[in-house]
Amino acid sequence: MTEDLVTGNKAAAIAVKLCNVDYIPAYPITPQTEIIEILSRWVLEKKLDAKFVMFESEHSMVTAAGAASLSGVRTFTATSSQGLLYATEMLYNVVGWRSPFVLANVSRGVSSPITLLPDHNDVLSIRDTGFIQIHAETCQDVLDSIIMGYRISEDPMVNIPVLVNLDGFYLSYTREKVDIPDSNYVSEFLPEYIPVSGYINAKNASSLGVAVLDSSAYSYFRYQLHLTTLNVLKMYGDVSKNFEKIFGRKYDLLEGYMLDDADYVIVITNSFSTIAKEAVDRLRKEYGKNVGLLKIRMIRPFPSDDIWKKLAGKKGVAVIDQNISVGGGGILYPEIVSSLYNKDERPETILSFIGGLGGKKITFSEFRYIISVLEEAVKGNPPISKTMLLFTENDWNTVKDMLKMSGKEVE
Amino acid sequence: MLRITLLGVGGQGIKTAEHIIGRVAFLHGYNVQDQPLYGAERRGTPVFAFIRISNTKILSRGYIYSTDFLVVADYYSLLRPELHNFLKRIKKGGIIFFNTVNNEHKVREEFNISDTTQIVTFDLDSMAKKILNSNVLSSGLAGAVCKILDFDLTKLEEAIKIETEEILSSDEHGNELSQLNKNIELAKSTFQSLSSSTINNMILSRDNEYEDFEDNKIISLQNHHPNISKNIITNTGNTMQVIRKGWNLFKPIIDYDKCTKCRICFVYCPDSAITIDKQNFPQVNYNFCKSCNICYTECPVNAIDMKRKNKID
Ligand code: SF4
Ligand code: SF4
Repeated sequence: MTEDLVTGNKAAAIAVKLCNVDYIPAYPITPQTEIIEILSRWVLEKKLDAKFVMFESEHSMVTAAGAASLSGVRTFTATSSQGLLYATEMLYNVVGWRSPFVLANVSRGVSSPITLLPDHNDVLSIRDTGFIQIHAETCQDVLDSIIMGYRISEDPMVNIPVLVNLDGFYLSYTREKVDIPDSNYVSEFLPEYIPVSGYINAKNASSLGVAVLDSSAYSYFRYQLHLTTLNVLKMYGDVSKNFEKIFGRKYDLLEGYMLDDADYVIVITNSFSTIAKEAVDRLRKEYGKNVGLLKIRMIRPFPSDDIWKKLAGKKGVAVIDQNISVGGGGILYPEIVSSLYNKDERPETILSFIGGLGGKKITFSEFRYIISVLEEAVKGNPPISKTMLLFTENDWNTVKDMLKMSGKEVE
Repeated sequence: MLRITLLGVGGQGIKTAEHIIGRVAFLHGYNVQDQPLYGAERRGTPVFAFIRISNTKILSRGYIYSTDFLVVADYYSLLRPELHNFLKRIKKGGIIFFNTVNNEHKVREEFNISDTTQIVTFDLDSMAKKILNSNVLSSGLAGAVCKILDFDLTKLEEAIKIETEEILSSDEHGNELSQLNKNIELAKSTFQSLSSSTINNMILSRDNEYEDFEDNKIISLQNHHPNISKNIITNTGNTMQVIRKGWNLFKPIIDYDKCTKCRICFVYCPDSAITIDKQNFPQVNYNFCKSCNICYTECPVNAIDMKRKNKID
């Protein structure tokens, strides 16, 4: 094992190397490009024995990834934002083909207006494709999740692609200490990829991804995807135990922080979890608030039962969605509410906040606000709006200046 | 925790400076987290970088609001109002490094900086020009910061080797070694020209202190008329309101005796800072030129030279 100071993007590339990936179809987009830059350099310098192919779009890139992985080569690809959206049609297809591979998505808010900084409308807008989704909080998490991703995806009982999400800038270009395991540990955890069923082999011809015009058959195959994916929640425990045994790091579907004795809980995902943890510490130490945090690491399949177990008996829950389903609200909020609705001891107060859009940092003032609204709601004074945007007076002043400069009349 | 903010413009090597400084702290055994932040990814645009250094685990991420140590690579950037705010948010007892020909007294006066903040000034541009013959400041900035933080010179050298390896190996002229040595020389000269401060011990001993934050009211947005809420610019030509000369380190000077009126510079200028006058000659509007060097590179008869600016004009 070596320790190094690396970015989230480099951590992803290192994981790809450690997993002995054979094939990398690629297409550049900020803030993901650094991953494929590093990988293409390593391929050129013969530090990585893989084939690197630049495609003309993410749509073809994902098609190639799906097809290649079915021919028995370990495949990796990466994209961001508009790239992921552009590939969406094929994302559904490669899941239907049951292609095992790993895709890293470096989150970036979607256009329009265009931005470079992260939120999760890109990755959550493809939540229904069937991709298993693991969301990383740290650069270490990125490296480890890609290794785990191959283990899950290539499991003969799964054969569904895995998406590992890392936030642009907050992880992609942020360096922190990462433990880089020796490759023999990785080989011990991740056996060689040998496709067992439904793969491309010239000796035993088969037809893959065939049309199913009969609706009963269509229903059958679609629902099988759902059941297979749900199974991942059950097998994940073993994968995680095995990972911990070999690497000494433990990753559950969810992570609780100061959660057990907390009355109030902030639910959050991805790299902003670190910022929220700092706020939880501070709210406890400086303000005496009994707050805890729940981070959702695996978003597809959605770990509903585990969420219920962690939140049962809590006084109030605030879900921070770093995304917006326009006309609906936060994307994860209703999923969390429905995980609790029919359950015993469900928290009576569950509020929905939207924050961190386009990478806007959630400041300590905003966390303090969340807790005060939550406390009031628990006392019986619920907020008027169902969804609350974390937006400060300063934010508004900045925007106001821009609006004025663009020729608009604002008071 | 020690929080460092670097402030400069694209092309000065801010990201590499951040990487070298972060690496030195890492080699010293500290917990480190560093990150650049930029928008336009192009020469002349503002670039920030943030570095957190701590004895204990770093539970924080992203933009640093209130910094202990501000490193100002581009003096004129501070004249931009939004960047000027950085000065106000220096933590008490903090320190600012200025790359400038001005002395401490002048800087204090110009930016109205109180005595509770230490100031170090150094003309890094001239040093970089002398040693590297360029305006890339990364190793020089690292040298300054490492000296002020009382870091080790040998670790600084090692860090420069690690962090510039990939950049220098893509040098097409095969001058990696001499470039590396020159960068180390620049770092060393800067390191040796300055004296260390006690900020390191002072701040690393406050490991558990939280970052200052702004007490900010959360407001609820109302729906606005599409006249306002559509993301469109109605008064076209408003680019003229955003004077960008603060981004401008070098200015293109056209030699009209050499100029053939081919208009290539006019076509290539990404900011339309070049117009064509009545005599068909190109004219640079320095309010909008951000010294991207493109006209200088593209001019087929080398009629354009880039001259260092020493003050905002
Ligand atoms: S005038 Fe030249 S240096 Fe200035 S912005 Fe235009 S192309 Fe760049
Ligand atoms: S590119 Fe050179 S020669 Fe052509 S118009 Fe510009 S300054 Fe003159």
